[in-house]
Amino acid sequence: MEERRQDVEIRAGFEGHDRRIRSRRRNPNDAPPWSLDTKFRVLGRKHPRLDGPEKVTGTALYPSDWRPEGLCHAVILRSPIPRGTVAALDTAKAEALSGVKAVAIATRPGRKIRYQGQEICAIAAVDRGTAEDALALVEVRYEKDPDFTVLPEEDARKEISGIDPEPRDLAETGDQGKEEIELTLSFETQVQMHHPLEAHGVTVRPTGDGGLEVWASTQGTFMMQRSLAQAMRLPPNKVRVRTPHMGGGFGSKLTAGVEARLCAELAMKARAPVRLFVDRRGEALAVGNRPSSLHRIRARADRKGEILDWEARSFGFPGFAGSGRVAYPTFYRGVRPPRHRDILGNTGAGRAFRAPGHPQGFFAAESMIDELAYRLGFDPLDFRKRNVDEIYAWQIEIGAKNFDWKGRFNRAPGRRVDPDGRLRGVGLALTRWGGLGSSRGRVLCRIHPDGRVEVRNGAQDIGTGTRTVLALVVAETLGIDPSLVRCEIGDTRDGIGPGSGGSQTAATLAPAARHAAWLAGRELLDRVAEEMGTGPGKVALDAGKVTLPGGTALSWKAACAKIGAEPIEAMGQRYRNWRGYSRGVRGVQFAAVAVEPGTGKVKVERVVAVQDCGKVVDRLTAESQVIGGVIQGIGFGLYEERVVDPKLGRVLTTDFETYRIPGALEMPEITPILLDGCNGHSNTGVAGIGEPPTIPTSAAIANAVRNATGVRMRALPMTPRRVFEALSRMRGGVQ
Amino acid sequence: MSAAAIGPSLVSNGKEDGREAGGEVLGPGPVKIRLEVDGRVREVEVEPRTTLSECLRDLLGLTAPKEACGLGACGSCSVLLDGKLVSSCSVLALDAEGGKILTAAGLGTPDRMHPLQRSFVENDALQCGFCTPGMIVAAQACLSRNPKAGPEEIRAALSGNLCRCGTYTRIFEAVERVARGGR
Repeated sequence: MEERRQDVEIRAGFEGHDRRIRSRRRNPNDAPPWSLDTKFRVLGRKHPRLDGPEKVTGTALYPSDWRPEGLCHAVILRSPIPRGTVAALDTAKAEALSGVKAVAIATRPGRKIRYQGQEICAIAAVDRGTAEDALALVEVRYEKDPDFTVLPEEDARKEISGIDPEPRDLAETGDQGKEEIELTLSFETQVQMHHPLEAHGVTVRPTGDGGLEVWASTQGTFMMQRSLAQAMRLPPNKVRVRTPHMGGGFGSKLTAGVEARLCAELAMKARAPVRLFVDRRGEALAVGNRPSSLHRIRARADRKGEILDWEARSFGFPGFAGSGRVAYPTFYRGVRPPRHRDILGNTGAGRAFRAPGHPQGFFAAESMIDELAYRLGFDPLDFRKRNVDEIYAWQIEIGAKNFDWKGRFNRAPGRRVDPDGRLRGVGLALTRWGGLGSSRGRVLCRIHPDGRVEVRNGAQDIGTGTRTVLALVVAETLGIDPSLVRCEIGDTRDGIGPGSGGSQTAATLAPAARHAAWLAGRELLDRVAEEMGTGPGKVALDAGKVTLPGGTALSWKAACAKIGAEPIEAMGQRYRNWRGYSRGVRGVQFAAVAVEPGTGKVKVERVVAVQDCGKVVDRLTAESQVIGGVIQGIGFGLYEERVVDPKLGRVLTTDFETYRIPGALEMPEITPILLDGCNGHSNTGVAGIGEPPTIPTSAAIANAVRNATGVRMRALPMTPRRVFEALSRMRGGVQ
Repeated sequence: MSAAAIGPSLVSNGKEDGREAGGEVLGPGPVKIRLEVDGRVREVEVEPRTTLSECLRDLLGLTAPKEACGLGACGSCSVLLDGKLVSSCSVLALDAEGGKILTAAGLGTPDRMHPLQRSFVENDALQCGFCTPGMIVAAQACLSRNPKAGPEEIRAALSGNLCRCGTYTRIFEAVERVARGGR
């Protein structure tokens, strides 16, 4: 068949905000695209995730649960000093201990130490206790380097704010009589840790053929396969990575860390399966973080609500390596990206963390925009609407109505004390993300003669519901009940898939799943037509039934019974994106807070999160993503902070007692409002949703605190101490 | 870890088995214990320093209790020990000798889920699912104390269990639904 690129025209966007989209890039072999006109039977509704029953009964096998025969346990020795050199390392006594199976060195004598927690060596033994005993027998001599840079923030702060190390107003001109104001504010954000509950780690079993079977708690099975193969000098097909489930990944599990490479080395040396999962302290030191940031923004705006000028400088502090870049909401007219510089220091390296750079930059920029609005006498909601496109304005209206913005807005910030002694206020902030998917995906669809349908892909489900999404897309494409579809994922023997980063997984794999199901469905019709002796093209698939000439129809099962003994098998491709309705997704969040003036304690009482993500596949799991993003945003805004001793360079927050992630008692009422649409860039129009909902939460909370108290918070997290001090400064007349 | 960790442990399990009298010194070296786990009697040899979570996971092959913090601060390893909610990472296996242990796997199976488990699935009260078996055990402990527990009581009962994906509000809905007698 001659291949020719075809034009395609579909209606995309949202009802009432739609557009006809034409593209010449669609591949004619692809399944026909869904659009706003598609009548969905399965998609867009609430479906419990398919692996729920296994997870709630504890029978789902996570990589850290896998215990093959003869398993050894490994632990890591980490550097206690932040900077220096390993002068000497002797593992002989450890190796001599009964029960020790193998030792692997990570930092050889003469090599540099660049942060507290750097891996020195790892030991595998018959059980964890023995491995820990052996660790105590390792002799290491460190030469400390006294000139380590622990907190480069101090220097940057001096550079940005001149003398005063505290963020403050640097300049403010204009008064009620003037038409324009100029405002300069500085902001800073803290280091946030990922802390997935299942630690970073792998269990590696050497296989008979000289290869490795690796059960990895990873966000990228294929990335893990590639990097371990490279480290072990094996061809990639000799490394099989399996991640049927995994216990949380927020960006730091995208690549194979040192722990995975050490574990593979130990397993090969011991000729036995070895399990190495980082302990909680190691999680707090060595496997990534969201770097801290510092911002100074100077902006000019006028009484018509126009942002006339915006100049920003920012710094990121990613530790000894990584990127601390930040992103600003440049979809606002007049907002420009900052001039940015990263400064390295002797702490653990930054890694991607759910919308890298965005919560930091959005906290600063959305706080600045909010403050401009207040100083100009605008309602912050109206001020925003003047500076965004009509889709945002529409989303803001939807949220404002549900949230009752007008009813809740505090017109006397800091002066209206509620009967319970608290100050209440509301704030909002916007979000933006890409997440339209890549062309890195191949999904297999099998239709079995008994009517069951099987979907397979090698990528992982990090808790977002990938397994369920693929099954639902296949069910929708074939018009069958989702209960007939089984989805197997997380094994690199199956078709390639993306790493779960950038909110790309569903947007990448849903179109490949649709293509696979569409191809398999066509094959089914061909076989049924042949079997029934009707001409090809005379049978059709409609609502899970195969319709035949003359008005008769076969049920799905009856049709499948005619395909013969062998199942139908089709491999779906992910073709390149064509130009869609939007290059990404949008959203807006509203927060209501109550502040205790006597303690500075902030309680978030309600969050309304409006979010679009193209076509909603499973409303239940997509809403869960939004709720989860909001809750992590609350953690970033109010509770979470890595604290480092500035003299010793040691992390003081190495457990869940000292590093507070949000818990049950901190929860507000959270209302997700998903706007179902079609993004029109692929055959499904699905866009990602993992990252966007965590971006604006901390800014919305800070803006609500401003509305409640009249005080602009410049630093995260907004702990009682910080808020109390800010309130005290205001009471003292200094802000 | 110091060399002392290799040495003997002083055990005082407070049980009527004579071992605690005078604080008998046990280990190093395995000690045989008996546990009833999810209705099945299990005999296992443990080093005295072995925690209950290591015993359940590494020696008995259970997958329902997870281990996330190792310090009793996250609730992932929660089990009911003689009806009482404990963090199994912070209990020595020896101290559980003779005890009855209930994990999420003992409450129900994928084909025959406990009402709490069904409610978690239907409300999508989980994402990665790693904290889920511990959450369910903690919720079960709450509802066995008060089958009609209200929202505040449920939140307080779950405040020792952390969820990093952020599913709390969905978990509250799931447990409240069971407490209200709905499904």
